[in-house]
Amino acid sequence: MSRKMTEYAAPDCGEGSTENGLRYTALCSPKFRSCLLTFYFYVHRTKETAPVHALLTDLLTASSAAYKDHAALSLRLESLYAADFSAKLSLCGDDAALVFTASWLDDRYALNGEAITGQVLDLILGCLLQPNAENGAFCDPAFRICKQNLLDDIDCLCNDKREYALQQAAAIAYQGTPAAFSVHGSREDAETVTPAQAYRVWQEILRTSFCEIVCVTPEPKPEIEAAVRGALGQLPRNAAFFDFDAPTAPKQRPAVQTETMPLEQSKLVLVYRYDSIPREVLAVLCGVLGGIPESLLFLNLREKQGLCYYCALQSSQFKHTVTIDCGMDAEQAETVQAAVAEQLRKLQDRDFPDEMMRQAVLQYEYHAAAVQDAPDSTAAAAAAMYRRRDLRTPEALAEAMRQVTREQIAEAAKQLTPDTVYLLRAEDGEEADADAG
Amino acid sequence: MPAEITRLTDPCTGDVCIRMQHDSGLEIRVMEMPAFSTSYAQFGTRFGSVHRKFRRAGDAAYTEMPAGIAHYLEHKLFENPDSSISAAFSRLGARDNAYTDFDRTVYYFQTQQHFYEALELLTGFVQEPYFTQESVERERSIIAQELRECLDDPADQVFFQMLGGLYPEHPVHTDVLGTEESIRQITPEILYTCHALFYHPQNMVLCCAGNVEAEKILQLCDRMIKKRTPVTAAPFRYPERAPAGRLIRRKTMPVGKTQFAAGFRSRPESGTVRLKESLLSSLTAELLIGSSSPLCQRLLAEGLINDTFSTDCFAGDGWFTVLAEGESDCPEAVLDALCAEIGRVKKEGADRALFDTLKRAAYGDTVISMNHPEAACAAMLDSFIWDGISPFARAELLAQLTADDVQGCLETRFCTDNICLSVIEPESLGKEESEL
Repeated sequence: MSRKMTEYAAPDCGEGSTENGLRYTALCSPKFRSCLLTFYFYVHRTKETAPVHALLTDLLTASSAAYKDHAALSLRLESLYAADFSAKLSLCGDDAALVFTASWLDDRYALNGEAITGQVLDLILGCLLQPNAENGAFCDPAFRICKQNLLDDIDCLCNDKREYALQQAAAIAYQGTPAAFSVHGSREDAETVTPAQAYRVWQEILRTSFCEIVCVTPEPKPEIEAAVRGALGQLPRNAAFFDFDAPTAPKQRPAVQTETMPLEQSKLVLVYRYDSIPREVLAVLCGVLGGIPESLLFLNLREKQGLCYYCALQSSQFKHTVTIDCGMDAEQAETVQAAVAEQLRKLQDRDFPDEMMRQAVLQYEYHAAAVQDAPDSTAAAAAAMYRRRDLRTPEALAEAMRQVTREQIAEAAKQLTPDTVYLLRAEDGEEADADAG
Repeated sequence: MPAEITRLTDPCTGDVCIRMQHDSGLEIRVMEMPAFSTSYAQFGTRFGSVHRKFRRAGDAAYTEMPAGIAHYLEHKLFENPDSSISAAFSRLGARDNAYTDFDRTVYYFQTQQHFYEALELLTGFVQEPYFTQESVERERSIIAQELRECLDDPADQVFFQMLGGLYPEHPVHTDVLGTEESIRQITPEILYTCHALFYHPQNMVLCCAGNVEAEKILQLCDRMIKKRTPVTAAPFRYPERAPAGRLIRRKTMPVGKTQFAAGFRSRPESGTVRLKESLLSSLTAELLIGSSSPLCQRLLAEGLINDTFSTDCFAGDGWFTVLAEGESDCPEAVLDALCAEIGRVKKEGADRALFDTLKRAAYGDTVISMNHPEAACAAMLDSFIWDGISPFARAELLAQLTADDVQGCLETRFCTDNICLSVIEPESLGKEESEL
């Protein structure tokens, strides 16, 4: 049974139902003019399957048995008022989700009264369940084109220097676990993927992967749930929901690595690990340290000391890490590291204004409200709640954040242990002597 | 004198844009969208990176400003003698920021609560410049860092290299941020001069969308917007250049695969004509080599392009370019194939069914794209910058286009004797790994 609401107020999705290895959540808001249907197929990753999973997201959205090539499928989507069917691989700790998303104009805006919804459903369920495959293998040239796209993606990871540095740091911090693999996997493994292997993996996913489905529409559309359940329900499925928690193991001493490249700006990534910090405490801590507009990192590193152009922070709840990354001159690497450590000391010493904690809550409340204003973020927020196994509403979490004390922040900050220091150094920069201490 | 108020209605969706001409000269555009949780405000001026050369009333000669001046001014307006602007927004639960583009500078915020307090802050600080030698000096290193980040971005570099080939005489070819050399010339005096010239209400627009009320916004503007005598500055008009043939520009960077951007330069337009020509050019490019076209499928199958390939139309006050960009081991072959397809369609005519499908898709995109306060705000601002046209003009103009228009578009917008192919080739990454 799915949860349905006539007016979507917040991602209050309840426990949902996990019948037949799938959970369907329907959310409605009349303010939207489009519909969105997202499938999350959760998978465990290995070095060998990492590129297969990435390849499948492209393969299954580029063609199908009915639309044999990218142009034919694209033309069909264009004819449905620019309906979109796309996919990505989303990493969740050591695991991942193959996320397939369809979005389309609501039927009431069709110029000639066409029923767009039914046609889009036929199209996307066809892509997922009757893919472009024969004799147990994906067909060429679609497979060959998608595989080349994947290899190009892997080769071009270095184009975006910031993303590249973050990926390199993750590979070091999470060494020995699947989270170390990039979203595309390695080139070596990608080169060996065959059409038959990719098809086998997809059939296995259909049988064994837990499938989270979230549908966002302007008004209730029970026919979508019926069509989805009718199609996926015919498969012999045996799947259980995952526990995504996969804490990063402590290192005896921080891993430190530098790499040089012919660049104008160097990138420094600092990864810290922690044992256990409640979600609301981590949210306030991250806000004060690097999340709010005038965070400790922004104010001190960029505005006061002019050390870097950006200094950003992100956390991984499943891997129990906080990652800080900066873009700066190579010769500033040591100074930036010391300055980041200084901001952490301020947190540990409770040396920050209460106003920053209040602003962290306000920023969260704004984010939670903004999420509700678009179908894609609405669906993503609902799926994330299930993944975290934390079904508190945004209002409840904001209230919990308001109760967080400076002492809790200080204690949590003391848990942040340097894990990895990665420097992507501009080739012409001076030698940097970073100290992870 | 009370503000002059008109209501513009989208015939497709029923959306209403309330357009108010404030007695200060400021144009105010509002879309009330009460069902949404968040609200957006954008305060923009027609002052972008290309507005560097102008002649003030009474001056005999043109004045030329250093490249990057509009962007530098954007950064420095956030300086306040008493308190931090961003901290003030943050205290209200609002997120503020700004951006500078070729033809505009825009300051904005988004919030769930305290909208009118945040709007007061926005309209206040943008009108109150405060620059000191020390603060202008301090900003130089931050902007230099931002510039270096762009220099490492192959997408930026392949685009500006293309513009350098197409528009060597026009400032559009220079990065919006300027250069490290040009920003060294910027002083508080220059910043004050540009603020006085370009940040007067007659040159600006305030756009608000979301859970907002037009009446309250107007009342706030009555209080906050300063009436000023405009200082007029006539922009320098760069002469049109004769077609330069087919140029190729190359450089190397640390990239994984060759990047390219091919641009077709043509006559610039303004106002509604520019929007209509942009829509037609975008549709024509999609028809020739978009994802639904047979040519795109052939190039994918031959391995000449990959899924990064896309087309676009880049137009503004003084430039009009249709471009095709992506990754390829052989960009020249991709451009050759596109030029051959242009020749074929000129000769054989456009695929009418495909054109109609693409037009229908563009209609769907248009209806969906306005279904968010941020997008609605941006559409209102865009249409003001593009000579005051309606934010709903796109759907109306789309409806007028037919497959017969494609032939004219190919003749005027896809001129194969006025092309620049920009190529970024991989250079050895020279990796070395060591302990720090």
